[in-house]
Amino acid sequence: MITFKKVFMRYPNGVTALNGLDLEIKEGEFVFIVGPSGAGKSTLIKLLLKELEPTKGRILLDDQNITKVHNRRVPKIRAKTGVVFQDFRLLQNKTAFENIAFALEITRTRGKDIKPLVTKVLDLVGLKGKEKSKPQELSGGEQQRVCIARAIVNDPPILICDEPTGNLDPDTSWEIMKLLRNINKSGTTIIMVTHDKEIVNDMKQRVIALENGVIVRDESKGVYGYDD
Amino acid sequence: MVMMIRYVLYVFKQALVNLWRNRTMTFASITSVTATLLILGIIFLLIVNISNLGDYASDQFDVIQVFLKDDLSIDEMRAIGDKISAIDEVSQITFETKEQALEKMKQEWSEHSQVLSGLEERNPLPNSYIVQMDNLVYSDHIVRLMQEINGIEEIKYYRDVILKINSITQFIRNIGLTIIFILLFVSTFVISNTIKLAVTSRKNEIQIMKYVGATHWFIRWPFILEGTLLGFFGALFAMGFIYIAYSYTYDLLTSNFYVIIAAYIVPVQGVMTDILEVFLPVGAGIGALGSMWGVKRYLNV
Ligand SMILES: Nc1ncnc2c1ncn2[C@@H]1O[C@H](COP(=O)(O)OP(=O)(O)OP(=O)(O)O)[C@@H](O)[C@H]1O
Ligand SMILES: [Mg+2]
Repeated sequence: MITFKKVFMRYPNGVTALNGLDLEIKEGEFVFIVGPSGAGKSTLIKLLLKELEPTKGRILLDDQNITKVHNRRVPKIRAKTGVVFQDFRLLQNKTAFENIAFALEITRTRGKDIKPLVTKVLDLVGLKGKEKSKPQELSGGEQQRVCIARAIVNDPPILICDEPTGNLDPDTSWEIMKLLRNINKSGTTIIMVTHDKEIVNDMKQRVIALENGVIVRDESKGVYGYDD
Repeated sequence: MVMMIRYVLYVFKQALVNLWRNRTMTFASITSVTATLLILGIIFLLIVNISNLGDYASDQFDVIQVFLKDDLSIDEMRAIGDKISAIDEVSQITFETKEQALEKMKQEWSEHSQVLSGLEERNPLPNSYIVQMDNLVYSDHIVRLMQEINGIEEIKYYRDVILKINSITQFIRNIGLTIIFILLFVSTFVISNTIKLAVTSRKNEIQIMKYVGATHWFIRWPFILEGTLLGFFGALFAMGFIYIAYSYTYDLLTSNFYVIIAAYIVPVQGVMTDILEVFLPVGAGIGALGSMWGVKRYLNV
């Protein structure tokens, strides 16, 4: 489903963040990406989200080369991926419901379909009854659930999470992980960047370790493998 | 269809929210467009009026007037007329007596003609021939031939005046176009910066829109509309100012004894439709162009 072929990413300031990365992720997988700070994890994700163009190499999504595609086709590619960040990135002046509906309005979902879709996904992430709350009235874990709901409401085949539990306490983190695991079980491929040792060790999923822009370890039921 | 309407409403709402949120820049942009169009308008009005004056002058002055000495007999005057008619390039000559000349002057001065009363006794105006030619370009040649004829006091011809008016019109037009061009660029730049601010203040939203797969044009339209509205409002203000200022100037000139100038000024109604037809598209055009530029530079989608 996702293939990186000898991908190099060199930033304009001369930093080489990815150094000939090769990677293959299959449909339905749950993949952790770990590694020290500055290893290139976020860079890898930005390439998938078409926020960056690789300096060299090819990235395939569903056998389609997504490097060097015309600007016009980028939204189509982005529609295949939902994304969740550590810092939530919700619109503060909108309610939970509106934040999620926003994602549907933007992709021009029919007006009468919006409400049932949002209600369904709010239910799925366990936020029934919170639809009228604004972000500042929600806990960190609840805000992250809204983000996840927003990321999956358009039903993308891939969900990308860059340190989704980075700002949450351990218990809340576990709740979020359960939610992600359920989403994964329903068929969504999940790629998650994390520094959370416990989570990685307990989930027993595929672990890819990145250092200096290359993969140094790739295990199918892996462990975190660092001391921090 | 319903979705189309919803999107159009969305675009308008976002554009207006942006305009309000960045009021200072909104004000600066509108002022800039207004100033540009005001100057455009002033130059336009100058050109229209000078052209008008130029046309009038050409009509009036494409003749040569030959003033005769005061002490000539009828026969002498007739002889001079014959000699002038004999010149090939002269198409027609008309004799104008000093009495006719005075009468004509009175008519031109109309209500202020009392200044001229009493002049009938000692009419200072000379008898003259008005010489029409086949073409203005022969005037120098004709004048040279007529200078040989005795009994002529003075030859007045206005080729130089016409040429001068033409060159002034041309000059004003060139300077005007240069200034307008620079100002158009400045206004476009100011608007593109307003869009930059609008983009910055919606950074989060735009990023989220990108992540959930909004098309580029979906994201762009509100900003482009915003710029277009800025240009449009600028044009409206400029039109208002021009209308007021021009009516005022026109009234001032026509109601005073600058009556001779006033006769050649184009009335407000005569230019407002032209201005309307030029200003609104130009204003909206500057706005659209500026915002596209801003979107291209700052909205990285
Ligand atoms: N926009 C940028 N311009 C220049 N260099 C950058 C940019 N973004 C990241 N880098 C550099 O690229 C390298 C990889 O950064 P990246 O953000 O991918 O690391 P990371 O693995 O996500 O780290 P962390 O775990 O701290 O989030 C780092 O050396 C970083 O300094
Ligand atoms: Mg990172």
